[in-house]
Amino acid sequence: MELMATTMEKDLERMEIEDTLSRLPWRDGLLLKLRMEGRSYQELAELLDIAPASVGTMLARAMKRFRTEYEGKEAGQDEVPRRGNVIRLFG
Amino acid sequence: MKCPDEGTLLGYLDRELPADQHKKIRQHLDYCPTCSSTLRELEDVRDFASAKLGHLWEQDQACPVSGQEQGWSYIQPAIRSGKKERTKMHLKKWSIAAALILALGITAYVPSFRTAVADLLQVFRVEKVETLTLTAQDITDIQEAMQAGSADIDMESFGRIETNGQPVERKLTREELSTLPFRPLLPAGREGDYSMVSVPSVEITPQVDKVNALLKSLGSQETLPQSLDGKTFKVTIADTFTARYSDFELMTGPSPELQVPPGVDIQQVLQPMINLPIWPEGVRKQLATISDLEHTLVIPGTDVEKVMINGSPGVLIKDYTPTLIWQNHGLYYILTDNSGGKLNLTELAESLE
Repeated sequence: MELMATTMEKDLERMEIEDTLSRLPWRDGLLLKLRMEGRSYQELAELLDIAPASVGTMLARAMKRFRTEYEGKEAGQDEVPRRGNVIRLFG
Repeated sequence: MKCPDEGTLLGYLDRELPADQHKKIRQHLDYCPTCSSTLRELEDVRDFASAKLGHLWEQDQACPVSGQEQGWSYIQPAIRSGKKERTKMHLKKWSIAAALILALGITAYVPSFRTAVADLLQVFRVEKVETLTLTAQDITDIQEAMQAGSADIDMESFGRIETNGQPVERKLTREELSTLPFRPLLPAGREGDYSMVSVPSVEITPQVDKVNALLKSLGSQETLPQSLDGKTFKVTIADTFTARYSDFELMTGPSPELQVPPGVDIQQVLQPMINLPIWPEGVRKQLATISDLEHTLVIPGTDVEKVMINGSPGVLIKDYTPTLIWQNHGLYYILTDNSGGKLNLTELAESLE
């Protein structure tokens, strides 16, 4: 039963993430997906035809938009919370 | 140098900058609290995106160090160099590598007592901490050794990792501190924000065939005994106290425990991992110098240092958010510098009462 609940939670989270990505500017979403695939900044610059020096800035902006959209808050209104204690236990 | 922009700081965080630029920014962060603060925010945002999107991209992937700088930095160079069609497999392998590294920490627990009753679980408890320094070359060597392995192991069948809920944080008043089951260390004359976090336990049930297939693909001569198949290992972290101040925070809690099923010799789990051929000579030598590995929580990192805190050995992690971990009389302490590196954590730790 617990496993089934866990699976349902994962499916729900997946839907939320996909929905969030769909609401981002297409280039932000693409940038995040490619980065998650492990592309380097240089590769991202070549694939998206942008200056290598701009990749970090665009990536930072895309990540912030993703988080803001996911959390359902307006950009700039929410403070970034601290990292969770569980992570810090072994961090 | 003038303050770098966010994009450059993210590049620093992702280790995407040239070595000389990386070094300059590191030096800048040592004295610039504004950039240090921005860096922490970027790390939070990146970890959030990484955790969520990593989950989407590799659903059901159980990566124990997800969201952590160490895990990211290990995984990142591996997947970066992989060809497109092999990238996913590499990530899986690196997740397993991260799991193995973590397992060295999780399973290297001292037998605080072995129960006299044979049918009860064995309980292992952390009693000291130790460093495992990884150089950039070590990481490259491990990466290459793992890429040389040919087996495409499906992480989903590696085993089952389950938790029994979510962590719950409860705020505490100063007066309530006297009701804690242990006495935390605190700085004299300062008031902070106090809280207690109950942490869910984690149960790990390996599928031995799959784990052994991985070990063999990595060139290991040793494998896990078949008798471990389906046996559940449980990691328990007791309620943890946190005191937060403007410039640092301190966590205190009873040492984590690992419960091992009856009849299982923990050395049969540890040794195949320690003897894996993928570990570079330098790493292997360090492991060899830890004479009582089963009594030790091993903390890997690229910039870690052994320190002594009032006679107790500890580990100082010297990244942009310096952290000091030590253990004493059954309690562990994690002291984190949130001032941008301005604090002397060792002196601060020794001054706590």
